[in-house]
Amino acid sequence: MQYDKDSYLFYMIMHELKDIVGEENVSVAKSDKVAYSVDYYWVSELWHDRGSKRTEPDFIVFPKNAEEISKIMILANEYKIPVTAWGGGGGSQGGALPVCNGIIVDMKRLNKVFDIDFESMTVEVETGMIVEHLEWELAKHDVSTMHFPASIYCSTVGGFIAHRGTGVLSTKYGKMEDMVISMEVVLPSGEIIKTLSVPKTASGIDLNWFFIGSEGVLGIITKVKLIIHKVPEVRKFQAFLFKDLESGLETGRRIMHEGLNPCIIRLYDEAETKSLIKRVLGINKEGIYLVYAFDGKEKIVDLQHEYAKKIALELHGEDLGTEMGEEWWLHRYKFFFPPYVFSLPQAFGTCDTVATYKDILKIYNGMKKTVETNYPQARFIGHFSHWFMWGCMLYARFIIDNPPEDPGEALHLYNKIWDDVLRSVLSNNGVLNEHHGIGIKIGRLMKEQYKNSFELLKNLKKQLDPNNIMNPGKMGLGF
Amino acid sequence: MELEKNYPILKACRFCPMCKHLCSSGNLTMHESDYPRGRGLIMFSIYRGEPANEDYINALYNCFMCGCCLAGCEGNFNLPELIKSAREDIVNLGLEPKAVKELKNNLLSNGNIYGVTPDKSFTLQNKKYAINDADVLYIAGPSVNYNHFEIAEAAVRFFDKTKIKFSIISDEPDCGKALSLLGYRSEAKAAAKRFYEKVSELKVKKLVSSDPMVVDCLLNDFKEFGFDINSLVSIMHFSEFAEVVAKESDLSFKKFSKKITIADSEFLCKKNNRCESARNIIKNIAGENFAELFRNRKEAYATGEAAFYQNGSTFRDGAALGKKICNDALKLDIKTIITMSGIAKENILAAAKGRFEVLDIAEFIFANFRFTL
Repeated sequence: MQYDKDSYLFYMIMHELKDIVGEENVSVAKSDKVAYSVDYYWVSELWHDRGSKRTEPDFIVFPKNAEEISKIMILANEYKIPVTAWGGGGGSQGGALPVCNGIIVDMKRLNKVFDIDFESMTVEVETGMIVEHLEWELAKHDVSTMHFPASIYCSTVGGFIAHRGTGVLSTKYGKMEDMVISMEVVLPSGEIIKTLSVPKTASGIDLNWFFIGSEGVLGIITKVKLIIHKVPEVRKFQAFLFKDLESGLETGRRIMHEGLNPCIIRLYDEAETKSLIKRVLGINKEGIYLVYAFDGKEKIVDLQHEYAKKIALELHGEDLGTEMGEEWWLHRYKFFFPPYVFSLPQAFGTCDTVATYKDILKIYNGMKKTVETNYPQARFIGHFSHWFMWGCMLYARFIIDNPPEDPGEALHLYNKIWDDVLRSVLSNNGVLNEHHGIGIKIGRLMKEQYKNSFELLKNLKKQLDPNNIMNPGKMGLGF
Repeated sequence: MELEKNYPILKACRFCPMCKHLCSSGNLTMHESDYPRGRGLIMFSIYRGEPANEDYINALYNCFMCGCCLAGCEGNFNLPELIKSAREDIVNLGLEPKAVKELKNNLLSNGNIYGVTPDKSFTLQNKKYAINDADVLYIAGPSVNYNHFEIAEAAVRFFDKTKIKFSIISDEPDCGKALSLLGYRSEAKAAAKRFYEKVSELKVKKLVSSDPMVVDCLLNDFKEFGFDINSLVSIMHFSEFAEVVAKESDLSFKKFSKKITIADSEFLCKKNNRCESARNIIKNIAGENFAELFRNRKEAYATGEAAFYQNGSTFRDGAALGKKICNDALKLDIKTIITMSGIAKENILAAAKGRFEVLDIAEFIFANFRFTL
């Protein structure tokens, strides 16, 4: 529905929203409209930087529970107004941007911890809670989700589930999606549903997986039960330097396949070792930097380290000692703070992907070649940071120090690089993304990735959200 | 444009969400415009030439200037300094909210934000304490001098009991901190000058204040204004002075058997890293009955010492912060909360509703030290 911002219809809708969430929990302030028109997506930042016209929400609402969200959904269907859930605004894919205006549902008032079950080691929490705040609560009892991404300071539980976030300890403890036991979801119709009390059943399709990674297009996750862990007795680190990427990758693969169960393996390519590792950690050496860690009972950890070290030495790694690994741990988030993080005027894109061990190096080389051959103005760096039994994740980035001043021109160049890089990834059996999501940023490539099965996703969306009110314009599912 | 002088901070903060978990105001209202990133976006819009509308201006005055964001910033970008420069620009354009202007007028005509006339101040009503040959000058600070006589009385009685020769300034001047935080730089500098000149006339060696904002102002703002007060006197918060006196005089304490905590002052603890004295005193007195309100200093949020104005209301969010602190204290089964400033006491007391005893550190010290001198 189109409505004039000065029309009485606009004020009618605002009145109804205030009736649902309370007078003080609806904002149409210009200050809020600016703040919700930019997230961590480079293009939204670029638009703001250049003073270009912003795409803003019409209303920002702050519900306190699923029931209020349900009423907002019913209202949005009545008026056919887009609804976009906003967690912490830390997404890099523009997933929470109100690209079709409408209502922003800020989730941060849903920030209660309901229950910590020490017998089953689970925590039930509302999804608007900033994960660092959840960790503060859990730390009082020496337990943790073990979900430690750099965005832990600014992103919410729901944001991580909706975009399938990954933390630095994922290799042992899993991605956010692996931590979910059950959830409460408000469907686009306003209906509030609960998934089964436990996963891993043979009781039909696991409904959790309808919503994990759904980026707010199929509903809003309001409450979730997550797995927690005891804080381990020790966590020990070791760093190595390799002459080539192949040896580093082989070291990581063998550590995984020997069943050593590391909590961290991170392998930085030569360009990133030379730039970021040197700048943040002060390691002034040429080569491929690898850090790995094990945690748990000290005796077991020592043994794991003994075996892992043997593998790294066999592959001719130069032992940098434990200290150079601990340094990485201490400064693991520093890479994402100014002045260390890439920022405007630079153009930068994080093209994280995941593939089997058989394909991952091919993918890395393909991405690097695509950037360096076609875009001489761009640099390419990457690291491999989340490891599975069958493959690993590549966190590759391109950086242009001086993109065009004109925002439209800069966007075109930016998207061209993204298209070329991701098509190269897809051609080598990779996927569009591993842990940032799709959002508005790369939705246009979803059809190329899914091919004819994309229709399934589109039909699912249509079935659940016939009026397309939920986060339209995202994941390539249409406006 | 004052904002321009702090452009590197603006450039760093405008898109950075990494201190979101620490922001006292954002985590109170949950509005993105009340977090550092939101404020950065707003200030950058203004910097780009967008007119500063009422909403933008309100959002920039919503900041508590507590510096909690700095505690987590790897780049040490001082957002409160940036906000201060934006407020100075707003003031220079005459665009500050009416309520802010009223606060300024109160400060200029009465020396306090409350609009209480000087004749009702503790110091004017207790002129007898103003003497010429004291070593220690006691500055109550505006919130104590006009609103919390009980804190000043406890401090004065402590000086008496410990036989410390102290003085007050009967017409105690405002150091200019609140003016500076509200964006009135020239008025703040003039107030600082008056304060500096008054102190210069005295022959005191130590300046002891019950107001962390006064301590912060003298330690930092005066330097910026070119008044070298640190070479005239040594500047201490009352808790720091009391700790020294207790050690030197080997004072003993009564036994305190209720569960007790401290609500740290943002202007003393966060901004100047002076958190220990009050804590040491409480721990000495209460022993194992002392519990930290937060696991570490980084997690502690503001008590609302500079929560002057929010979206048209004065002092509203300070009271909300007090409520939040009370809720956290309830979880720990706390019975007594110690505060470090008059404003913090006020904010917490408003929400305590008889569930807690709320005492300023001076009151706690006076009640629990054994004075045997």
